[in-house]
Amino acid sequence: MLSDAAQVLRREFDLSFARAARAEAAAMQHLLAVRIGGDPYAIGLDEIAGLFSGREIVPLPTPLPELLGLAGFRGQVAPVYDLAALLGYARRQEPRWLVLVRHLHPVALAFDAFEAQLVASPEQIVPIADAPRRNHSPQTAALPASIAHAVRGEHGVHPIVRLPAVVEDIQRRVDLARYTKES
Amino acid sequence: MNRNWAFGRKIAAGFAVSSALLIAIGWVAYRSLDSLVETAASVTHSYQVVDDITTLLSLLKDAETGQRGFTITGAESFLEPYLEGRDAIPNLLKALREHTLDNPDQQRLIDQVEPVIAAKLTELRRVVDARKSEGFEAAAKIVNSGDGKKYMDEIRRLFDQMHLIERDLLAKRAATAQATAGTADSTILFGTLLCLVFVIVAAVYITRSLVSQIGSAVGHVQSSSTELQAAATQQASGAREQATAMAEISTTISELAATSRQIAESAQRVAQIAGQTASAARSGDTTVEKGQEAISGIRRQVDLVVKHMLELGRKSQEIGAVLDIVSELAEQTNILAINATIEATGAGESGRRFAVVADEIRKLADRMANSTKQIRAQIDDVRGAVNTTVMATESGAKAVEAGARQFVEVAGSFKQIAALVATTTDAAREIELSTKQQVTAADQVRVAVADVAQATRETEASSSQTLQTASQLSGLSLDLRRLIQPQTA
Repeated sequence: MLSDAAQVLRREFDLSFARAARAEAAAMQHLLAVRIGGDPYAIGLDEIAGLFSGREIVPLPTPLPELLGLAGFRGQVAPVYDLAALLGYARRQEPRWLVLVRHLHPVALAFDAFEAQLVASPEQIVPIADAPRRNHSPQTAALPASIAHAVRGEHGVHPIVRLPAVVEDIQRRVDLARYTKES
Repeated sequence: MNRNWAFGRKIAAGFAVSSALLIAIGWVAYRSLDSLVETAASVTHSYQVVDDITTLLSLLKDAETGQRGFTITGAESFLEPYLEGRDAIPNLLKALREHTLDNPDQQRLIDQVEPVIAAKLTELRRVVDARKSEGFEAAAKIVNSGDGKKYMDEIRRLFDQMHLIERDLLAKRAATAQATAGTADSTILFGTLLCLVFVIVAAVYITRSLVSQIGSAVGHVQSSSTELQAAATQQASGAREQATAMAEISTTISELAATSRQIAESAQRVAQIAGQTASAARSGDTTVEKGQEAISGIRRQVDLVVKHMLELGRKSQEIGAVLDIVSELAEQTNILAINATIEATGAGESGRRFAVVADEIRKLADRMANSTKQIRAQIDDVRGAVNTTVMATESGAKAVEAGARQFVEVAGSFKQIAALVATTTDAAREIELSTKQQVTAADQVRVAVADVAQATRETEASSSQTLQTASQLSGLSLDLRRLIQPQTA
């Protein structure tokens, strides 16, 4: 016998299928509210190929301190980088959550915690210059190139991390390391 | 004479000095009389010596006379003086020698005269013998030879010397006796006068001293008798007050006896009430035992509650563990829904419906996660409540234990109360007994106080008599002062 709350949930679930798909739903942007280095951030859902947690990361000998190791995702192996380290945070704990970046090459990024999925209207996406900077830590005072916008929602303002820019940053670091090693 | 001496001492000192003076005078007189007697004895002795010399010369003369008579007459009767003298002279000469043993001059003269006397007696005996045997002529011839006369002259000369010596001695002893008598007279006269003067001075001094000291003493006696009068008056007044106080004490003691009787009755009632209290305490002891049993039951129930609460806590923990699994499942569902959304987004138009489903599943997972969080919070609340309940129950159990201990103490206290009540009962009985004895004692004290009151009345009478005696003593001292100091009268 279901409780009243469970019956409400079931009714809403069933009604959601009965409602017609709204046109404005297509304009909505899906984001993942995450926590990196203790600060709230957001990642666009369209930039990732999957969300994972508790995956085993096999460490590698590497000159890049941001490279945590390798992990397997649906039959393919991807290097896992510490998103906090890439954004300039000092590592405080082992990140449990992973996102597989939608990219030509499989790249995974690890972060501290996944909080919720956000659905934001275009009005809620604001340039980072206009967004309140209270949530930014001192390390992010000088914003990296991967952060240009922020989403303003019920739970506050989340700077949006653009993963392609992060991958480009990784690429530059890898090239620099390779250059340093070769020279 | 010291002024501080007592009369007896002063009088004794006066008598002692007077007696000493009298003794001195008597001694001087005795010595003078003794000397006089001695001098008189010496004079008598000298007279004896003189008498001896005279008698001896007389005997020699008698013997010569008898010898001459016989020579002339030839009659034997004339020989009698001769014979008496012949026989007596040696003894007398011996006596004379003994009487003059203290005088060497006389002894020397006796030594000289003794052979001369012997020669004279021999001459006389020759004459007598010649007359008897040869007749007158022969005798006359011997007489005519002059030897007899020569002997007699020599004897007279020596006797005269002895006489002179004795007379000188007599004169000296008479002078000595005279001097001794004069000294004795002077001593007795002046000593008596001195003694008389001393006695007069001492009498005057002692009399004056007596008058002064007795007067002072009489003054003291007078003032003392006055003070005694005042004291007797005060004593009489005090005795009257004491009699009044004794009457009050007697009344108070009577009240005390009555109070003691009331106390005895109260103590009897206290003993009865204490007995009732003891039975109530025993009843209370039984009630306390029942209470102890009830507390033991509560304690067992509390233990059971604690056990159930701990079981509830454990079950809550297990629910938490299950909830962890549910939470993880919700999380995984959420991940799956997100991944499904991602996949649906990649699938284009065909995946849009699926994306909706995936989104709804995600929402469901979100709500499930929220519900799980709420359940966890509620379970945490339940566990907190359980812990609080357990702690409260344990506190209750401790309180129950403390209550049980207090019940034990109460039971002990009840027993102690029962024992104390028993002691109280005994004490109340003792108080009752003691108070009865106190009543008896109070009666005895009342009798004693009555005796004391009687004694006080007698004291009052005695004080009055003392007052009278003191007045008489004052009068007597005044009379005595008049006797010794008439001018003060």
